[in-house]
Amino acid sequence: MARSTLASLLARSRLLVVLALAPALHAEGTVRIATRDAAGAPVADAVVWLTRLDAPATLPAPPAEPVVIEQKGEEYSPYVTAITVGTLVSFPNRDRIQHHVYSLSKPKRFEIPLHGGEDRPPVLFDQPGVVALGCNIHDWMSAYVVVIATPHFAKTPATGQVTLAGLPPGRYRLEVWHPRLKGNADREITVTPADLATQTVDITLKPDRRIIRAPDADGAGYK
Amino acid sequence: MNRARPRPFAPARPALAALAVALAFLAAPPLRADLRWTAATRAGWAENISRTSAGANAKDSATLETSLDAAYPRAFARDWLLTGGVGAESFIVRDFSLNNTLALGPHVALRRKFGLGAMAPELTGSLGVQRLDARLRGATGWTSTAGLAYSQRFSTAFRATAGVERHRQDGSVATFDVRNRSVFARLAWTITPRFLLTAGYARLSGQLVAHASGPVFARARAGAFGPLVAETYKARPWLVTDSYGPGWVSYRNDAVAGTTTLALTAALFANTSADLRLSSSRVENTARVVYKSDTLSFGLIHRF
Repeated sequence: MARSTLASLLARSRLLVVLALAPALHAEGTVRIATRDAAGAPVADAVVWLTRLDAPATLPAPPAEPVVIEQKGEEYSPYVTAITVGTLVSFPNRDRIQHHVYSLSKPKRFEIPLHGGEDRPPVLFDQPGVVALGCNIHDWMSAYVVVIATPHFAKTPATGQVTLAGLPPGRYRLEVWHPRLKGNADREITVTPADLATQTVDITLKPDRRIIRAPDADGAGYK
Repeated sequence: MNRARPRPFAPARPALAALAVALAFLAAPPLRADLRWTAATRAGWAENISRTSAGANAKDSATLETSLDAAYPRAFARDWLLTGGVGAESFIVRDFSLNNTLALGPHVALRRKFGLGAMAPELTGSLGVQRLDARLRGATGWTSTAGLAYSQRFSTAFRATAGVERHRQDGSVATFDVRNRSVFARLAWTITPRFLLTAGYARLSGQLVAHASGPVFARARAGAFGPLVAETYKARPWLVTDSYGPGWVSYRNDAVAGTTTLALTAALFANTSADLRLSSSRVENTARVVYKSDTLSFGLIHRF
């Protein structure tokens, strides 16, 4: 009798332990990522993403509405856009002048000649990778679309910091991309429910060599 | 008759009429919205602006160039961009105002890009016609310039351009009927997103207008500088224009001019830039007379 009572108590306590641990086992982790350059300054427009190493990534359904990259004031806006594979992107021309959107990047080659104020059907980005955009009329116009095959990503604001939440515990590859990134800043991290430590990523940036937009007076010959 | 009276500086009526018609055309909807206006001004100091090999005759002066241009670019087909427009340019020589000019006229350029993107090479053909209004009576007339330029970026930092130009001026006297051609090459280096360094060389062959004081020109024709100079200067059309002083002569010459230019451009705002330009020319005419002319200038350019 005494033994059966003890056994019953043990069984109940095990159940309580399991029940107590259950939220922790299914809890989602959060990782805060801070990017900084060689001078220690925060890096804006960096795209960071985490790829699960223990299990295949499950991508959420792409946004119902296309992501928008405007052509306005003879610039692309935003300069860097991060999306998941399968997302549609539209390129409305808000200027009155003509633009000619193009990409020569392997993940998505396309071109859209656009007249002022004209809209064209959105473009499907169906392969992961970095897609560089340009305008065939205005050489200084440039932008990037970073197409990612994981739902865990973000683009850094001016603070250089982002927080990725809702991460199933496990091992991940942390990757960072920036238009001027020199080398790579990949690393492997482990996410646990209790881990709220900040991952600081030091990246080296190449000099900014974007084409100058301001007008350049042609050199004059002898008259 | 080689004596010309200077006249007040007033734009020619045909030039103003042509400009008014062109502006009215460009300002009409729907072109108006797509117009690209560009304004530029350049203040400089020109050494030996009188273009003379005689040291005592070399005149220096501050100069001021101002221009306003309205252009209408239109892409058609995949790689073609047509730009038409009209522009006005004034050139003021502070200390020798008889050399001031005003030029007005239309221009057109057709650009063919071989492929997509900023790195694709470009070939641009251009043609411009201007009514040139000058205080020197004989210089007033028409000018036309036709050019062909090939341009290629090697990276976002380096761009090279090479081309040829043919220039023609028809004045009201033979002295200012000028034909010449140029070949040029230019390399632009984007040092940072704010600074651009440009180096260029242009070689002009053909006719030029140069100037000399009355006594020097008379001595040259009399053989004081040798028989070749005398023969050459006797054979060239000339005119007393008082261009750089009383009794000064303007004459047409056949020459070769090499001009080296170095410019540092600073992007002040997205559509505004300033530059400092040093330009050095060496001219040798068919009588083997050589003169040099250097110009240091500061320019501002804004695209609206």
